[in-house]
Amino acid sequence: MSHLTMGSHPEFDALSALADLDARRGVRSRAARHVERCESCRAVVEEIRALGDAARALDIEPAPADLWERIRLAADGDSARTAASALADRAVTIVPVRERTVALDVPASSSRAWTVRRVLGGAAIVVVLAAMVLWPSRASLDASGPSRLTFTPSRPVPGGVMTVRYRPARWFSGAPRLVLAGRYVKPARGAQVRYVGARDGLDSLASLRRTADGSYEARVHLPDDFLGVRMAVFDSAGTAHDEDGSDLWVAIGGTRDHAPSLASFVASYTPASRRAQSRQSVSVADSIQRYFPGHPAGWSLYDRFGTSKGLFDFYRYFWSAERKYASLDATLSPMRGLDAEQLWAMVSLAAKIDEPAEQAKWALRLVREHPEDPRAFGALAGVVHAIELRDPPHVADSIAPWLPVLDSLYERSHAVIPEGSYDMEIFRRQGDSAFKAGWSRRVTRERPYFTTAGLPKIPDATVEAAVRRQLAAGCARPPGKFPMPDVAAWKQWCGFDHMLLWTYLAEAHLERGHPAVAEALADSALVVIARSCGADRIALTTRAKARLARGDTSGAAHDYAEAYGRWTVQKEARERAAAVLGSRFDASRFDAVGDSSRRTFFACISAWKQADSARKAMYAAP
Amino acid sequence: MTPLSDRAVVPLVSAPTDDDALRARLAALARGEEAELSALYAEFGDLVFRTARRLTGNREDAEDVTQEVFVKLALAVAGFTGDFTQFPAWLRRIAVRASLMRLRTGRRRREMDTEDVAALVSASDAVLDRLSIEAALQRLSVEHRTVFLLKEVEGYDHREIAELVGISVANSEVRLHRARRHLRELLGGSR
Repeated sequence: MSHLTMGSHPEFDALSALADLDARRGVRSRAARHVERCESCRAVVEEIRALGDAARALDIEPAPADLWERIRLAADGDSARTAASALADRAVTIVPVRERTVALDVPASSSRAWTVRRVLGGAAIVVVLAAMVLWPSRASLDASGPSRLTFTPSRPVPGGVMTVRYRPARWFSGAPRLVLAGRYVKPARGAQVRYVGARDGLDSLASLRRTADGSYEARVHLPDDFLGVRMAVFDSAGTAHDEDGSDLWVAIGGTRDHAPSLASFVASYTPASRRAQSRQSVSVADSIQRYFPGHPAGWSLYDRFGTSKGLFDFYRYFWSAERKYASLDATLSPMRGLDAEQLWAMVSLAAKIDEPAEQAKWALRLVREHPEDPRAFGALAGVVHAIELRDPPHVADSIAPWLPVLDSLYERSHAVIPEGSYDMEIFRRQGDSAFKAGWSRRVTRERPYFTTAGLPKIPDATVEAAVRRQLAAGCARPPGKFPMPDVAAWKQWCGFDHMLLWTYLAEAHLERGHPAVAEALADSALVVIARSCGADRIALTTRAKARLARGDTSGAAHDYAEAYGRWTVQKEARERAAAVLGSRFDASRFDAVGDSSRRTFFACISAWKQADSARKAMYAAP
Repeated sequence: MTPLSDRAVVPLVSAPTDDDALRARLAALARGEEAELSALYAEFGDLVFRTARRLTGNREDAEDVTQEVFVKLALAVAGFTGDFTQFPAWLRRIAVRASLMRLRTGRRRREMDTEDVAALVSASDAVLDRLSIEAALQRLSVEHRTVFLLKEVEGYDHREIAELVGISVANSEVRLHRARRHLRELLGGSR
């Protein structure tokens, strides 16, 4: 099975699995074939292998010299003495394995009863094997598995009411009420909100009230555009939570007349790697195959091609991705008026079977027939990347005509390009400098965080305006109905991102020769990140440079020392500050400020660690 | 013709092999002879300590694990059935088990050293500077770090890891992929 993404590159997990394989074994999986031709994927595989090399190369110090003395004293203790004498009494000898014998308790004679038992046992085995062959091996569909959280109806409808029952986790026992938090699933084709963590963006859905049998129950009034909802349970203070393994519980909606909804299934899809530790048995692909058998999404989202679902899963032979693609292609190609969902699914399925020409055929059809759909942009970007992979003569000339089309699709569909995506890399590689600069500005607009990556060192007016717009937008999220400190990751990341943005502008103004402006901007960076443990050191260093440029040596030295106290690699930071300050470097004063800064840093870390330990202890097994 | 003095001497009676010598030493250890324990520690102490140090993530825990392994070695050697070449791997597996047991039971030391601090800096520090691989490893969850180290450094396969850690083979694979993904993010990978 190759884990190919909805685009044209293998997923990280597939590349990671590939990194473990010996290239000499001549592995010919689809992912391997792709990596052979794709430079960026090959680089990822190399990086993954380099992680192992780096870990193996770590220099671990030898055992301390006094450890043997500790061991000797401990071995002399009561327990060791007792053990040794007991062993001595038993005259233990170490016997080579080849001399050991194992006595098997074989019945002396085969009685009639024994024969009957064997016949019955054999019959039972035959029955079990037959059941394994004949029993439907499809994964269960849109239902709650053996989970603490269940809901009725099993297919909630838009505008309806969903009753949620929750069997409390140990750490919730006795609480009079709990909070059911969740976030509603958005349409697959819409602009996707990016979440920092699984629990980011949750809001209170309803109160879970205790019932007579000790479980909790809530009624949730669903919105009219309901497709699905991902859920977790919190205590009323928002400090403790429970979820489905390592993911959220999901309820997939139906149509208003309680029929299965394709849009709900597609929107609720979660990649296999995220489902791995889930206790719910939810398979979107299986559900689509069952309820919408002619729709290609059931196969484009299917991630178990080539994987047996049981010892005797003979269906597997008929379920190869290539067979399914050929069958769907024959049916759908002559049809007119296919919707974007079908076309996009065919693009994905063609990518899955590593057929770039077929992928291009369906992608161009999606572009022509549904240019407003955001996926059209990604589909065409995949085609352009396929051209890159073929590396024809004059590849730039081959790609150049497509770039304005991509540009136009981007504008028409309001597609969101995730940071670091392959689509974005195409624009970094291809096009002239003006084209690349234009895309750099767009990327700035689209990324909610990590916005300084890939930006020019000195921004032009457009980039600076975009950065300032993002700063003005703030980090406010739609307010929850109750405090959820455990899900505040987005705010933390956003605050950090804003610190980077302010610092980026400060550095730019420093380069332009405006140290006063740079200092003011660095001040802003320090304000937004004030409550972080040590994350402000980058802004401190920038402000130090600005102060130095303004002739404020004392202020610069203070900032350098403050930053130095927050670095874990102190020697290097101190040497750097000494080199920059030269003769103005006052070692004793620098160390005093640095030590003070470090104490604050440690106190912050210590408080964080205590809070974290308390939180972990709460969830730990008794 | 090869001079007689240069010819290989073929003994009439087989000399004691490394295997025999090891068995004699282990038998002596089982009888409680401290000199044997000392000799084994001199030979394999660093191996045990370094294995424990990697898995537990700090020096104090590694010292405790090493002590535990060697103090109980007299009892444990009775279970060793391999030959001489297999002894280091067997001992390393015991060190791995002891380290995992320590991680599971939560009896980890609470001292804070520099590496510990580096590991605890809030997550948003990740992009500030490219971390060293060691600091990045410290930021992984215990579950992910354990599987990553067992696979990449100790060289166990997923079946062995599953048995050691008490998880399924599939879970071991998933944890490895996630550990790698997280490490790449911490070290500045772009996707």
